Amino acid sequence: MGRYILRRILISIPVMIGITMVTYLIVNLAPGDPISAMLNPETIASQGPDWVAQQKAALGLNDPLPIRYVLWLKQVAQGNLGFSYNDRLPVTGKIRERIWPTTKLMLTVEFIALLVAIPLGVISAVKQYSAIDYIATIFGFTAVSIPSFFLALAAIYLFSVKFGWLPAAGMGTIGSPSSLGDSAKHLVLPAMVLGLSQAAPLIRYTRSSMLETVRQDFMRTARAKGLSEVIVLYRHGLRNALIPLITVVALDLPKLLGGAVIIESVFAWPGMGTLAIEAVRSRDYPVIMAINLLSAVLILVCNLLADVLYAFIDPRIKYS
Amino acid sequence: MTLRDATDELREHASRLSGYGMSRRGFVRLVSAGVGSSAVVALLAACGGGSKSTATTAAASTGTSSSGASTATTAATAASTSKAGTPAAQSSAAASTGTSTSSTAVAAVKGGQAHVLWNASPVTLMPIFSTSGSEQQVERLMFGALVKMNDKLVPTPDMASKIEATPDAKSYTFTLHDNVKFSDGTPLTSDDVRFTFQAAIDSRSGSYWNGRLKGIVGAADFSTQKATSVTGIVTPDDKTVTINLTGGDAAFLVNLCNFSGLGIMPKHILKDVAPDQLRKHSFALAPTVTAGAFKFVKYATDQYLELARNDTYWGTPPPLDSIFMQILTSDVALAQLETGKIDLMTLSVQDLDHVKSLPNAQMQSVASPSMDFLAVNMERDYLKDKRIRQAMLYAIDRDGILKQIYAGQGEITNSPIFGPDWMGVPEGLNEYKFDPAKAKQLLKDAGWDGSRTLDMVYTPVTKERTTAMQIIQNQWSDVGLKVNIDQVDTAEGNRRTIQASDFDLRPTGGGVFRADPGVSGTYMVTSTWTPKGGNYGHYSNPDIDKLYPEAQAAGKPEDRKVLYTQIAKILNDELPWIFLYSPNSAYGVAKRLQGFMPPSYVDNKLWNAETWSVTS
Repeated sequence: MGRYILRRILISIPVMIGITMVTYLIVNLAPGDPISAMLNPETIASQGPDWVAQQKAALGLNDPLPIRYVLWLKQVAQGNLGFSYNDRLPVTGKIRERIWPTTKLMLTVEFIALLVAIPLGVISAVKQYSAIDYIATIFGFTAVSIPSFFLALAAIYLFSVKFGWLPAAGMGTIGSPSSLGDSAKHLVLPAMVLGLSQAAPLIRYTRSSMLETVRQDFMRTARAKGLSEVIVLYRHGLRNALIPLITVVALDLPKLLGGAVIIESVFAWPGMGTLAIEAVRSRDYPVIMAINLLSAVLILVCNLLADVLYAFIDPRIKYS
Repeated sequence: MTLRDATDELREHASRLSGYGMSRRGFVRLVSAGVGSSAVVALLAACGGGSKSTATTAAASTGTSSSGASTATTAATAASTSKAGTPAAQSSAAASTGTSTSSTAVAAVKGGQAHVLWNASPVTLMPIFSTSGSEQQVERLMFGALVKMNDKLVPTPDMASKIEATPDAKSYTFTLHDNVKFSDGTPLTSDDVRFTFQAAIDSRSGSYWNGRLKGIVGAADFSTQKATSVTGIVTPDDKTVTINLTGGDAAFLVNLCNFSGLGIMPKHILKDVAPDQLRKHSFALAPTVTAGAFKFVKYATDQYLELARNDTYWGTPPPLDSIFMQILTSDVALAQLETGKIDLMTLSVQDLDHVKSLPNAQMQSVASPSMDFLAVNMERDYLKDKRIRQAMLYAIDRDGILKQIYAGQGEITNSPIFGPDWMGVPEGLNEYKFDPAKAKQLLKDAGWDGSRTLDMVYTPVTKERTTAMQIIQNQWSDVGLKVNIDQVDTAEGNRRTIQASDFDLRPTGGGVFRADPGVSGTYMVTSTWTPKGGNYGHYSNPDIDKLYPEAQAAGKPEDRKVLYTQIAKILNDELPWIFLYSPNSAYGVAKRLQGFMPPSYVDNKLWNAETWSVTS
């Protein structure tokens, strides 16, 4: 197993470099450049004739693409993610500010998704084709089909404006010192909106996995032993049904970093998603590359983690 | 250690672990328990400390700023003891700090907070680097400016108690108020004014004010480091600054306070920073030493900016304790306006009726200085005949669009000159009333090739503008003009129009044309053809090139009016831009906010925030 892990890690390195190369190429191929993004006739009007050219040179945009890529790679290898073109702040600082809000939100989202999905999935499987099964299925389809921003706005309208139970946006009440209750109240709406739509595919996974498991012989044995139905279902059935689910969740972990752009902007949640979309809009190459790099690392790590976890949990799987 | 040794050691560790008698099942149980509990602990721990980690405070914090912060927190703790999230919270805070109010009276209270919508996160809070009006208005409030733009687009003295201009408009003298102090107690003198202007003019800093201020004597030499100071800025004493211009510029003050005012930066804090490092300095996002009515407290990235009353302010102490600029999308902001969490926001046309129906807020609408228009690429041969452009304008039912899409909130414009009050709308302009028959005739006369499809490079900004463009496309196809709307984002749109000149038409909106008739000059003269300036349509007319500087230099408004009327007539006839209309600026104001006067320019809402107060 150890050798397998090591091999995977070693292969990841050229994969990472390949990913960054492709990303760099694509990002630079996008029409427009950082200077165009911040131009307006007023600004140019008031500058000298060479202002645009000067700005481009200052940002190093005139060098050929491969050279810029190699320079960037060298910089990253030394641990420096560069400076944002927008506000000249170091990229590491910008990312560090936003990692926690995004992680907090996405962890809660995963938690809610699993909390909703697993019981519903089990019940759907055990009582297949019953009313609950159909309700869960319909709910799943609806949650996936409704666009998240619409759901978010509807939730805000209902719970914040009409009923006044929950705050509409932000991470905490502005002007008041932070408290656990306040943070939690602000977390409810965005986490619920996103969590419910995340739950939908998980319900299906749990359901189909559970369906497969309850048909197995060992379930009949457990029942024959005289164990209660609950113990049979949960200790013997669900435990085994969850194995593929673990893989799915592990592969979902990179979302912890990416965040959900739309939900974050609607709820004014200062996370990675808003940073990413702003960077793309203003062609802020260093920030875009840094976020992509982080995502790539996380995805590779999570893939490895999923495979290893799978092998650990299920003794039937063996890696050479 | 070789690779083999490493793997062997790993295997040894693994077997030792399993040798402890822990089965796979046990291992899984342990790991999941560990992950679960650590996640819960982390969540709880960080929930409490979450917002602390997002605050960015500067290295240059001072004693006065921390006392300001404590005033804000006492108001805040009072608020949190009552039910959070309701207007009642603000009233208890206000009552604890100032005079009491009865529940029915609308008397203003001393103290309290105002929450204002900010539509975008700030890129910088340093006055010489901000290119967006929404940042500039906050800087003006924090730093104070020599002259500020008021609601009617008239430059009014702010930090300067007296402004005198010579009749030839070549020299302006500003006299500062007595007692102007920075928030750390240091007096603000003409030295700080000189420092700010020179930092802006210095080409090494990269400030775009360099272009705006290039009319000052000696600016060109200083900006290229040929001189050690700008000779045109004269500071005979601590309170007086005289600025001499190379050519008469009657619109210099308008230029200086566009969009809100140029904040004066503290020399004693920033003097040792190299010009090219200014932008990156921590002061840029945490300006803790300022001389305006409100000072910086905290900026929570992408969430809000907190300002508190500045106790060293030279003028009448502002009634409000603090102002919060909140960054939200307009849908959410509208919801917050309804629940009383936001006190002031800009409204788009579709929200006007909704806000009118709210019990706790009202809608205020004023004429704006901006204009919507279609810039035409004058280098394209098939667009050079002015009859084609006139046909384009005749074919658009601007009145209908204003009534239907903008709910009648706006006025039609037939030239880029329609204000301010002393200028008014020039007489004798062609109104281009909606006339598709005439448009068809003009197109035929000019020999328009009906099979040609024009390329409209459009960056969607507001829903109203997108609908208007689609209506224009339809109305043009009715007269035989085919146009394709190419939706692009800002970066690509700018690249195609400003850098590559690869467009036929470019819908644009904005600008401050109403503020001064000279504003349009930047876009119409040959000397500012891109890349040298903002004239990306590449319009060129020698008469216009002559008239604009003449009108700029003329001293008396009556003389200027005559010249600008001539300019307007030419542009109205030649139509280098398809002039559309000037949509109004609309604001949603909570009834509890007193003293707000809707400014013509939407990003100048804070122009009189020093006099605001709240009733609860």
